[in-house]
Amino acid sequence: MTSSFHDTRWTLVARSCGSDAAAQGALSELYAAYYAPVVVFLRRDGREEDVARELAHDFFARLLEGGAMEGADPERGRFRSYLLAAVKRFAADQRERAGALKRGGGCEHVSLQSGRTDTEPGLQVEDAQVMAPNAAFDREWAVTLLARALVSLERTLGEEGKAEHFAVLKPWLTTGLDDQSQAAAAAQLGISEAAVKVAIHRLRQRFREAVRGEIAQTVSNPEVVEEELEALRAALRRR
Amino acid sequence: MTSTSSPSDPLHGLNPEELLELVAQGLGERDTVPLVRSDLPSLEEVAQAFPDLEVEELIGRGGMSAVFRARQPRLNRVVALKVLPKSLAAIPGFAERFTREGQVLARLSHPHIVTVHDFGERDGFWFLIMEHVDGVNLRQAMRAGRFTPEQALEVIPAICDALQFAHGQGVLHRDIKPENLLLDAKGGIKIADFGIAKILGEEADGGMLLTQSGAKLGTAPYMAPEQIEKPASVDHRADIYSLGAVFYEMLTGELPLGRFAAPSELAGVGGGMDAVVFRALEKERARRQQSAEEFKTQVAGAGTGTVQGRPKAPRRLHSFWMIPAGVFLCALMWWLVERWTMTGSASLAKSAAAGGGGLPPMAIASATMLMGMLLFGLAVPLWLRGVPRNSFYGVRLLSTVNSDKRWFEVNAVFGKQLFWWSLAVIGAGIAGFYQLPRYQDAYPWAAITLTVVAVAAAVAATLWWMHQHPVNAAPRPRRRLASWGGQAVVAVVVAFFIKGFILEAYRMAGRNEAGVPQGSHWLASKLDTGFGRGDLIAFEHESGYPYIGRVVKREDKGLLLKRGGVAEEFFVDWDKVIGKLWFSHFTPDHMKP
Repeated sequence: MTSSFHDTRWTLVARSCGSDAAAQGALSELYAAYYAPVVVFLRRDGREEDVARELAHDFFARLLEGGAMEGADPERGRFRSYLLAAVKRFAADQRERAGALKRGGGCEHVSLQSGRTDTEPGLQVEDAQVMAPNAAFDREWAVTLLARALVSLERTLGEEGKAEHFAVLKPWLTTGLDDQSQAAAAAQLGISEAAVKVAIHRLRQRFREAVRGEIAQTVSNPEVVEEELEALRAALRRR
Repeated sequence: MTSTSSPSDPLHGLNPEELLELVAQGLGERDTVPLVRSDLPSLEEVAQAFPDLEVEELIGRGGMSAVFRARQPRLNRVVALKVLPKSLAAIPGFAERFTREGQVLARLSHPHIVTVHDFGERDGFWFLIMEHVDGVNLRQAMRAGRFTPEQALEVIPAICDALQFAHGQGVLHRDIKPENLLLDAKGGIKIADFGIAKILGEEADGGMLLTQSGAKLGTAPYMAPEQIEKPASVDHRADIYSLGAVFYEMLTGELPLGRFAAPSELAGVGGGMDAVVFRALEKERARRQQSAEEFKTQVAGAGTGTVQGRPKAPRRLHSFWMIPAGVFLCALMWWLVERWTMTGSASLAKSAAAGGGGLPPMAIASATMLMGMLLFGLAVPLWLRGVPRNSFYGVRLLSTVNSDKRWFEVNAVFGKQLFWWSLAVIGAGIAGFYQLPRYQDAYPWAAITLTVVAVAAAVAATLWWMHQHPVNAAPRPRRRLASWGGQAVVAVVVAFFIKGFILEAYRMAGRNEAGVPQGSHWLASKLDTGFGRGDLIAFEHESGYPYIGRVVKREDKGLLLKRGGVAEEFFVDWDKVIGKLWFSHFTPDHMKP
């Protein structure tokens, strides 16, 4: 159990510095999973939706080909921090290039902008209601991770033929609903109320394991899992 | 697989915050199921199931049980009756856990461990009859603020004795925390709740629940690192860690999270205690005290070094001293403002009669400016985080000793506030150099008021920031009312100063002056920045109303003016000169030429 913990996708990537094929595979998988937070970051950083998507695509393409792994410390590493740092650097570069473009240099970069110049930062007005790009990134990250955990939970339950259990019982992942709804759930699933309690209990356990599993995929050692969990909770609490 | 998540809502409508809360709970609090009110047995049901007891009232409910106070009439004693709800008994693991608690407690007969009298199952209820401790738990006692380091030192040896005894019997508590330490009315202490205790040498972890899911049991902040990472391998030194965390909290009122401060920094205990606490909280269990007995001995040894007569003030006192301080500050400002307005309205003749005694106006303006520059010089290094941690400079507020980061953050907030205020004070100093004699008496008071308000506002804003950004926790939501209120106060003070000494708006009632339509609004500068021929001047007429005229000539004691439509020129004393009309910021359309 411990060894599988150590061979998470992220450690694999970090240790090999992104060079071998297995690491490449793991990396592209991770990137595909956490595409959304990057887009959100770029949008909060002052770009239009479609521009942000396009840039995110470029960003991942560059990461994958370049293997820009410096700064990924396999001992203390977290994929989230790494990706955030990388996308920040990327966004800053992008700005500079856009600036250079404005001053008349670098004609070959035009294609990146697809003829638009509204990625320039100067027009943005700071709005206190809008989250800082970092915070938005972390928040989106947490949501993505939870969504992944839910999908995997739904899938495994589906494979066990308990898809209906998931559909009916999922509200209890967050709240303690009242007696009636537990009774209704029991009726719907055709089991006793006591069995509903047991089922809820198990669903919660499995959801916890699923989330921990997802987090473990993005960090390098088990100590960091709890820290990361705390960080994600903080990110969601922050508004 | 019948349903797939829709791309629009990958979370199935569930709240992400609550979802993560659930995951975190699994780590810390013991596992629970959604207990609803009807799960908890009612008093009547329990009374019916236990006819030999007089069940009196529900005194507590946890994630998995309800505790009633009951009387055993035949023995004439009060007991605590802990009952597992029937619905939980159906879930594998819960009844086992309950049974285990009974067996563990039965093994442990010690004055500082709650005694179990009976255990079993009756009418479908699993129950434990235990000694009833008439008092509060340590958490409640700490919350009530009546816990001093001296008291902590009194109860710690008893807890150590009890733990040492339990460990000697091969029992690990695994959930030592303030909630599970009960204080009785006489100040004695008892360890309770052995619901997740582990008996050494026993096959695995007993109940299915404990092994099946790999669940970690315990309560996060009090759990030893190995209890989180490798729950299967814990030994009695995990309890030592938890005890260290509880002890730290008793001494300081805070949890030992992250890079925590030494107890001697936060509470009135000697440095010897720091070593004991730090050792108990070592990550590596081999470096902790190796037994509860050792912990007790070290506490006793370090206890002789306790700083006497300086108990840690309960938390409430922090806000308590701010009430008199705030009242004093308000009174001071009120007095200053009163001086300001009184001298402003009624004193020029007097000071002229006294021959202009007191400080020359230039000195006051210079002093104000100097003060502003001093504040500026103080603010910039604080804001730029250039001031290292030491107790001689900057604000040394309680939570800033927690970490370097906190120290710099708080200083930066204070520095930033002070920076903007110092600009205002410098501006006031500059304005002071151009005072018209008319305003010179009120000016010193206004300048002092502004300076006091500046410092007070910077301090208040910093304290507010610290309140909004607690240590080791997410910042509190911004309160719009509070932040707008604060900004409004600042705006009013600055606006009053500007209106009093720098700028004021006037509406023209007459129509004598050429180029000044009746009903137009003008801004008048109240500073003496030179008066040239033809300048429009507002002055105070004998009637007490402001009138306007044009400058003919500047003289030593005042201005020679002329009004439109009046032939003769007349002299206006400096005392009556209000200021120079600057420009019209609003002229009604039909008045425009």
